[in-house]
Amino acid sequence: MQTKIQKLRKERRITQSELADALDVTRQTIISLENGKYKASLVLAHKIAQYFETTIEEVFIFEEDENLC
Amino acid sequence: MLGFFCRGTYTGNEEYRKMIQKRIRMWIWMIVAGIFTFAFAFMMQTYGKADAQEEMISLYEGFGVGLVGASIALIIKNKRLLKDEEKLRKARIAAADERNAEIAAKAMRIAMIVLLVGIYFVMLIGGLWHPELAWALSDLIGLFLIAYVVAYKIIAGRM
Repeated sequence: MQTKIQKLRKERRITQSELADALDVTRQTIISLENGKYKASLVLAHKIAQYFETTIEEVFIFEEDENLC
Repeated sequence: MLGFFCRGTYTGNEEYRKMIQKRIRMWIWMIVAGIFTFAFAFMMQTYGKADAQEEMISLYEGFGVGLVGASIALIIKNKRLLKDEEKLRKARIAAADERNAEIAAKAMRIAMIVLLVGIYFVMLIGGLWHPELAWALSDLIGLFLIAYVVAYKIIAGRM
């Protein structure tokens, strides 16, 4: 799953470590989210959206081939 | 890397601190178990009439010493963690991190498959020379499957 985390983070001049600290996750989790290697849980997605003061849909790009089953 | 029993959801350092204190108490009990294992093996060697082989006695003594040594090391590590607020925070985040939890769950699943396949082959081949080994291992597989079904039902009931 692709995300706009890196873009939003850079716009706000926040480092990966600062974002990780704010969300109570490891820096590696932020790296994996930005690279699209890891899919955030609903709780983490909500926390990220809240942190950037936006909606989950604005941060995470849901691709059609990622089926719902 | 996250240990087997280090995962959990901790909202703050205080909650994590309490869990570390519980873990230290558990390691103290492990020291007691290690001393008991060593003493039991030593008694068997010295006074016992059990038909235990010398190498098995040494193995039990090794288990006992290993348990005591590992427990002491872990107690020291955890006590140090309690004294350093920043290290405690980092350890809490690593333990509660959802990506780490997913990695650990996947690694555990793979290790379980490897273990089951290993047990199956040891049972199959070892059983030709030691039938009791085949029975013991097949009982272990049975215990594993029963534990899985029971745990699954309990957890499903709670979710």
